[in-house]
Amino acid sequence: MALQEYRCPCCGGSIEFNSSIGKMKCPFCDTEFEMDALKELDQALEAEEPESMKWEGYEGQSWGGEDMAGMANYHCKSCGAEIITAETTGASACPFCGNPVVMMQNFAGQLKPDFIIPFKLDKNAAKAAMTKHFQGKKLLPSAFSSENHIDEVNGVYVPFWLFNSGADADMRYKATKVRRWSDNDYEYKETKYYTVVRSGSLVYENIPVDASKKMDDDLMDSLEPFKFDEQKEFLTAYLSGYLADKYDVSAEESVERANLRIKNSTAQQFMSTVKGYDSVQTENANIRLKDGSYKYVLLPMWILNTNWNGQKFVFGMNGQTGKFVGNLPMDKGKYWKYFFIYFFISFVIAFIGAYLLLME
Amino acid sequence: MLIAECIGIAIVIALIIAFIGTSSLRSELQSVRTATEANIYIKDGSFNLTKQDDIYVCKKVDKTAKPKPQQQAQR
Repeated sequence: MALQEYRCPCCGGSIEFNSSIGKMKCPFCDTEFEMDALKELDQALEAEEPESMKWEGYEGQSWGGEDMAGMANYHCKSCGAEIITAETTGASACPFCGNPVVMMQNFAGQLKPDFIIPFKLDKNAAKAAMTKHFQGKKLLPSAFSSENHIDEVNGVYVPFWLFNSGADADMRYKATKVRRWSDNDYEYKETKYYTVVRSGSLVYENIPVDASKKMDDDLMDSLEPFKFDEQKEFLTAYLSGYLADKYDVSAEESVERANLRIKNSTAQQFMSTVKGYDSVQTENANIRLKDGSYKYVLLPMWILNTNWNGQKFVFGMNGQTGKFVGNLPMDKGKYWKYFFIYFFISFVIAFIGAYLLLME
Repeated sequence: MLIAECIGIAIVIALIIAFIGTSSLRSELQSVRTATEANIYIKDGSFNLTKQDDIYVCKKVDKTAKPKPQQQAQR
């Protein structure tokens, strides 16, 4: 399998993408490299034939189709280690020598990403965000934050489909206006019924749907939004030093999630134009997509894993904006402590208030 | 009797406030949610209403007799 390691022409060390300066940098001699120069290097490397070193004479057991399903192996050019990994992994670091590598073969034959948003925040920022995430959570078990050791912190370029579409809609609502009055003998309630019709259109841009089965959909949703005006043309050099997945969920499979979001938002937008009524019910919603298109992109995420009390907790940070999310465990003892504090204070105030009111 | 009534009212109010307060603290621990809408991805200025009709259909009046002062006195 072909690997791409970027070597520093000055000292020969492995260079990697530095998120703070937005360039490739050699961590050994601090030489910085422009991305344009690496683009030319990429083109030259793509023209190279893959290495072939076949040995003959040994007839061992070969991997069956089922054995190799979903797996791929590669050799590290730095230390020669053979690594077996998921075939959807596009970039990683050699676990033996730590050299950042890009598995070119794993991108071959698949769609090339239309663009990439490079990492702007590093691993230390992810760790700091995690510490901040724990702060101010009154029901978080004290031991979780004090004893917590992050098992893994991985910078991952996650494959996404970005959907663009226009939406035409014809909406019909049943609405009412209610007026009440009374005379000496009766109380009156007048209900006026209206049919409200709205038609129009709107345009959606860059609705992201994650295209990796390995990534939790809800976690990825929670890390939105991204600033797509900072997108860059895809270069494999950006992957250096990070993990990267290629898509294993097709655009056709992902479009259902985008459609649901478009449908709900379109309904909300049109509903917001129906004003001045006491009640509004949707009677008919006809939403039609037009000029739909999609793009394949890689977006930067920091994924942090930890185990506590036998339970796995996964946190994520948007590698561009720093938004940090992840569900936390609850201390039941603290829950009941706060419940009784709130109960006691409210009880005293409510008792005094009720006593004074009933005394009058 | 008055004290018992006050205690009853205070318990109900305190239970509601304690439940709302702790629910709010619990929700702080949950930050992972499914995205169900795409409002932030609507292109600025793209929302265009081409038809906007509010059609009056009918009305209905319900009237309810007020309780008579005499009836109240009998109770």
